[in-house]
Amino acid sequence: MKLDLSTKNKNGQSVCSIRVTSENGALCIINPLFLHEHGDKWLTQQSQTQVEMKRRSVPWSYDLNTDISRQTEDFVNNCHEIIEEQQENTGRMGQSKESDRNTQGPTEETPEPNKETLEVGSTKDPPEEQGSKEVPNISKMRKQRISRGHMRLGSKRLQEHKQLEEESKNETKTLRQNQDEKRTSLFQHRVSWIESVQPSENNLEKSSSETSLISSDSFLLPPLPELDSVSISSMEEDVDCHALNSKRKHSHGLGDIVRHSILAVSTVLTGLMSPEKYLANRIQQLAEDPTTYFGSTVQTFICNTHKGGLHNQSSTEMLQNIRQLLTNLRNHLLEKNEIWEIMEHQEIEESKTASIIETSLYKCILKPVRNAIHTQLLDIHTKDGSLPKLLMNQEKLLTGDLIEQKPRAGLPGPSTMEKIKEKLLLMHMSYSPKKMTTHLLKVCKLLYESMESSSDKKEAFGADDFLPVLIHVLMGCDLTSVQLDVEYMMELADPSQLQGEGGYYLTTMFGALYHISSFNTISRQLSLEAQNSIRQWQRRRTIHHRHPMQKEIQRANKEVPETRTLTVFRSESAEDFSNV
Amino acid sequence: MAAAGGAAAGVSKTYSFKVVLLGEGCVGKTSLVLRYCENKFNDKHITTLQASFLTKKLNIGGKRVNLAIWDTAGQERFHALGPIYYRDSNGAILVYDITDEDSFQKVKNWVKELRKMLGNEICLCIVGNKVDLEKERHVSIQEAEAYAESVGAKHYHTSAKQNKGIEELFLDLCKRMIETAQVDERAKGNGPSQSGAARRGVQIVDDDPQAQSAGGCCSG
Repeated sequence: MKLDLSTKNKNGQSVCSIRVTSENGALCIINPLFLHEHGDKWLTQQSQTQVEMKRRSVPWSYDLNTDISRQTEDFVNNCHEIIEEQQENTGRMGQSKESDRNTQGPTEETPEPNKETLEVGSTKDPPEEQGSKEVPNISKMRKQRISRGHMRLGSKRLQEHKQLEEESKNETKTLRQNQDEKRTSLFQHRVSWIESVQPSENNLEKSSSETSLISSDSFLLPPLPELDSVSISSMEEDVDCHALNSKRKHSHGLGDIVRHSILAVSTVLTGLMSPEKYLANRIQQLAEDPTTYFGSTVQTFICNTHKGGLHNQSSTEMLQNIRQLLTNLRNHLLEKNEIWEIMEHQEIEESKTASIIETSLYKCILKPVRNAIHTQLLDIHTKDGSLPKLLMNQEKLLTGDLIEQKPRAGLPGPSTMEKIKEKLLLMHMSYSPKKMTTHLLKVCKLLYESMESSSDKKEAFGADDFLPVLIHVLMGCDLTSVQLDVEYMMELADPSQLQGEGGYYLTTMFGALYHISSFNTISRQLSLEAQNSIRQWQRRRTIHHRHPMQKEIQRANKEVPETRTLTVFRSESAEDFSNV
Repeated sequence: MAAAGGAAAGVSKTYSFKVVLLGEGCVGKTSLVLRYCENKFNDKHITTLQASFLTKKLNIGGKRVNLAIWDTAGQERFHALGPIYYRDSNGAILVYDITDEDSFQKVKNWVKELRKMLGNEICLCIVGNKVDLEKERHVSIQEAEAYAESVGAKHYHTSAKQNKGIEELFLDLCKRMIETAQVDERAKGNGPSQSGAARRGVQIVDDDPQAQSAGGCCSG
């Protein structure tokens, strides 16, 4: 694990460099004068070996087969689409900030791929070119970083982009012709994908200094914000990129450097000291250790998933199996003596432990398979016709009767719409249902704010006003990803998280999507399938089914049609854990 | 009551209830619930929270109750979404406007649907709102109360504008939901929601199996 912050002036000279390695716990701050005298090659050469070692420690990422390749290809394509869409947003922002660019130039030339995405808007390239470049660009940049050590991005950068785009296009062509070549050429993407999913997830939301931290190593961030219960009212005002850019306008290059450095150091220190993080790290280690029951279960699941283990299941079945696995493993960890010792030693509150474990499990289990799940959901719902129907109705509503449906409360303006789309994109990029729910609530908050600002109503808004606005707004969004994300959250979130506000707004989102997809049907009743899916979800959500332990499950099997789901994991019940 | 004895014997117990608000648009559902939650005990700034989803904590005779109030969109075109919201609700508040006969008819439709889908486990409250507009009343008190009784629901008169009858409505509903929950627990034996492995998890309901037997002793 390493973190580096390097800043250069226009001549490419290093002004400041901070490097932290959490593997051996060393924190090292290098005097800029030293770097000026001796350069920093020695630093990056070391980092090369570290990166290679880190890769070796993730064996499953080499476990390639055609399914993975296909998923990767899909993912790359998806990314292109998403980023192209995103491009429009950043492009607009960037134009208004062009004047800052000259003064900010030096600080912006850091070698972080993630930062790169943030900066896209401020360069003067035609948007189409930039957008499609992002993904191969990131992978290439990683590679360059390894081979050359320090990246020097200057005017060369744009050239490389073009070259890279062509390369990636060629790659895609070859893929379709030759199966063997497909594997090898996509292998590069595969590696970059694993490493860069996390950064791109955050790059729109955080300030630039945080972004570079996260992209270097998300491991070092304190987990505390995630522990908060999900609620609109408890959410902090996050710094979005608009605010970020306006702030940067007034800061000078050197001031930025200092600020970045302080932020970096403080974040790292908090990360190293936080007891919650300690526990989370330990769970992460356990998950990577195939000699433990926990580790082997996790690794087997991930392996199976990448080998196509999710096929031939219904969407609900697939997601419920995964949820069951999460619940089983959480209970297993809660029974483990080691976890209790850590809790006592680190003085972690009992009430927090389950939440920390849950979050860690998301990282161990859901993060590696998020895209596989998404691909599978997309496949299932394209085949069963529900997605095409939804999109068809979206189109109909957009062209036809929308005026009639116009809500009485104010609709968000273009800038709020962009923010909403950004949040939805962030939601789509997340793997943790908890984080996704937070993004969902942020969308709702934005909606309420715009409703408030555009109406004279003094009182708070209820569902009568909110639902029509939500439906109207969703109509202008990428419904495919929203639909899949809602299903993902509904099934995979910890049932106890869905009791409150998060559950309500997720339900409302589900309702809004259902309304759009059933727009043309005259029936006043929900379809049987929809009723069934709600029943199953709500059942697991309610008090009596909150902690489906083995005994209850067997009892519940008589009334709930979840039998098939549970038989798969019956051998991994809590009782069996104690025998291991 | 037998179970109350059990609860008093040092067993901390929190009930979590979900209450769904149903009724035509413009009958004052939102105002009603806002009135209820907008008091000094709930200092959460309403403007951020909005009124689609509200929570309230109560203490009724030593029993802690967490209410989650789910508002629904009353427009006719959203009728089909009803089940998404009312599924697994412990209580439903069906609001009509006393000056609007149609809105009372809508309430009747909801009652039918709820009884059909959820049976008798859900506590129903039929609420005639806007009693401050008594002069324009179009739904007779007798008719409304007789109907409520016939379907096993309770009837209330409220005015969100004058803050009348709202506190009583929710308090009464909570008491009935607690009763229903206790009957339900007894029917299910020692309560299915707990077992050893779950005790360290985050949980709201803290059942004690002994509460059941203790209750039995007291009543016997």
